[in-house]
Amino acid sequence: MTAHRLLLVEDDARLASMVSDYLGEAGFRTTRAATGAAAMQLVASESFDAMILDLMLPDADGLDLCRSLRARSDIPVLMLTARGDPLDRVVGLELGADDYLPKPFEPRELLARLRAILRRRSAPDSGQVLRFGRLEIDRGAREVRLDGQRRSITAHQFALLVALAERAGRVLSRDALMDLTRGAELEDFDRSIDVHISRVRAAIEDDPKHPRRILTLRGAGYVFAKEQDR
Amino acid sequence: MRRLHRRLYLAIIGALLAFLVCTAFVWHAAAEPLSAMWGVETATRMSAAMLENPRDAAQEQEIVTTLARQVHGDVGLFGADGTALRYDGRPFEFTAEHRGQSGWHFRQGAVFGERLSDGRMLAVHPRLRYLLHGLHVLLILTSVAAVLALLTYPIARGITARLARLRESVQKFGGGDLTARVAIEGRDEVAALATSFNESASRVEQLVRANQQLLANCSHELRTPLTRMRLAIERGAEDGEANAELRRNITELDALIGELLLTSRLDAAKRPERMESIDLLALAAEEAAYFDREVSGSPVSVAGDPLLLRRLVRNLVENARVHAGGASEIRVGSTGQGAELVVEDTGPGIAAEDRDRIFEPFYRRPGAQPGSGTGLGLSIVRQIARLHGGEVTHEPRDGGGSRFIVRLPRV
Repeated sequence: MTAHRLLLVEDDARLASMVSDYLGEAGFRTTRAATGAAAMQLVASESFDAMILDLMLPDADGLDLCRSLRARSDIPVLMLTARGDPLDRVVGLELGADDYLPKPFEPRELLARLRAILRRRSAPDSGQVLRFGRLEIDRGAREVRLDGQRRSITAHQFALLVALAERAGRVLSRDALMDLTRGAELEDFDRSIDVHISRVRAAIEDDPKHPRRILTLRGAGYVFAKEQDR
Repeated sequence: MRRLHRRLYLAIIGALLAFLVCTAFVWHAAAEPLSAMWGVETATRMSAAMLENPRDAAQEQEIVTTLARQVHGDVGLFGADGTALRYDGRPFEFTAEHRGQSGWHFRQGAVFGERLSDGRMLAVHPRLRYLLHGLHVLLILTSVAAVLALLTYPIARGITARLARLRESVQKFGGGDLTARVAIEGRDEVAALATSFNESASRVEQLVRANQQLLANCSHELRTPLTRMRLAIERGAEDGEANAELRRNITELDALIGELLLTSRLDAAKRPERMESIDLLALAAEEAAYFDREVSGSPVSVAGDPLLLRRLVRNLVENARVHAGGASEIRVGSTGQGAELVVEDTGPGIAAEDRDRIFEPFYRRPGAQPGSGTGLGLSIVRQIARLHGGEVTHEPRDGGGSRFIVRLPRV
C-alpha cells in the first residue's frame, strides 16, 4: 500500500513542521501550505488523500475555504480549531468537513481521526452507519466496530445496541427496551436485559467497569451517550 | 433637514390662525343681528316714550307705522287687556305671557315688547333672519375646534408613529439583536435621529464582533503553542514525572482559555444560540459518567442549548471533584415549575457569608488551593442557568457539605 498523501494547511510554521514530522513517522507523506490561496493552488494541481485544515489562516477563514473546496473536490477534510467555540463545530461539519479536532490535541488522536476519515472515504456508507466518536454501528452489515476493529456480539445484543443508539441522549426504561427488541430476535429471552447490556458493554466500552457509552440510570433505565470520545 | 420643528411650528400657527379666522367670522355673523337687535330696542323705546303723551288715533298710528318702517318688521300697540289698538304689518303672536313684562321674548319668533306706564304695550316683531344665540356661537366654535383637532391629528401621528418604530428598533437592539436597524423615513430630525441610531448601532455591532473575533483569535493564538508543547512532549523522551506535570499544565491552561472565551460569549448572549428539547437526566448521566458518578431521578425535558447544559453539569461535578473530593449524589427531577438538578458533596461546605460570592468570577474560597480550578466554573454555571431562564443556588447539605441546586423552566 502506498503512503497516503496529506495536505496540511496551517499558518504556524513550527507547529506545521512538528505535525508533518509526526505524521511522517506514522507513514504519511505530508505537503504543507501556510495560506488558503496556496492550499487551493495545491489542491488544483496535485491529488491528495486527505486535508488537515486550520480554521484560522492569515488570508482566509477556514470555513470559507472549506466551502469553496467542497464546490470542486470531495477530498476528506479534518478541521483543526481552537476549542471553546461550540458553533464552529456545527458549522464546520455542515460546510463539509469530515471531522473536527480542537487544539490543543493529542497527537495520537489526530492520527486516529485521520485514519478514521480515510477509512470512511475508502468504504462509503449508505446512511446505514451510526457514528459515535470512535464507535461505528453498521446497520447494513449488522456489525459494530471500535477504531475500525470489528467487535463480536450476538444478533439480539446488536438489536439492543441499535435500539439504544438510535435514541441516543434519551432515557429508555427496561420495558421500553424489551418492546423495542422483541420483534428482532427471540433468543435468550429469559435472561434479563441487564445481562445483555453488560455483554454489549464488554464489547464496546474501553473499560466496562466505568462505562461511557451505555450508562445505567438507577430506577429509570439506560441511556446511550450522545457525545463520546471528546 | 431640520424640518420637523418647522412643521410643528406651522401646524400650531396654522391651527391658531384658522381658529382666529373662524372666530372672527362667527363673531361678525353674530354681531350684525346683535346690533340690529339693539337698534330695535332703542327705536321701540323711543316710540314708546312718544306714545306716553296723550295723542289721537291718527298720531298713534303714524308712530306705529314709522317704527315698523324703521325696524323692518311688524308693530302692534296693545291695550292692557290684549286687544290690538294700532297695527302695522302682519299679525304676530303676542300672548298674555308676553304682555307680562318688557324685553325680548323668543317663544314664537323674536318679539320685543315695551310696557307703557298706562298698561298698554308696544310690541315689535322684527323680521331678522340671523338671530344667534350664545349657544349657537358656542356650538360653531366647538365644531371649528373639532375640525382643527381632526386636521392636526395626522401631523402629530406622523411624528409619533416614526418615533414608535424607532423605539421598537432600539428595544430590539437592546434586547441583543445587534443587527436591528431603523428604516429612515423623511428628512427631518426624526430621520436624523434614526440615522444616528443606525450609525451607533453599526459601531456597537462592529465593536462586539471585533471583541468576539479578538477573543477567538486569542484563543487560537494561545492554543497553537499549547499544541506544539503537547507534540514536543509526545515526541520527547521517556514518560516521566516532569512530562506528566507538563501535560497537566497544558490541560489546565487549555481549560482556562476555554472558560474565558465561554464566559465572555455568555456575557454578550441574551438567549441560547440553539434551543432543543433535551432529556436532562440522560445528559447529566453522560457528563457524570466522565467523573465515574451515577445519576438518579426521573427523566425530565428542558429546552436549551445541549452544549451549554452539558457544560453546566460538568462544571458542577468538576467543582465537587476539585473542592470536595467528588460529588456524593447527583439527582435530576421535575418540580412544579420545571426541572431541578441537584449536585451534593460531603466536602467542607461553604460559609454562609461566602454563599453568594462563590458564583462570582475568579472568586476563591478561603483556604482553597491556588491553581485548583479555573475560578470561572461556578460563574459559568450561573451564566448558563440564567441564560436559560433558570437559576443556581447553594445551600448546606444536611450532615455537612454542599448542595447545589439548578432550577430550569419546563419546556
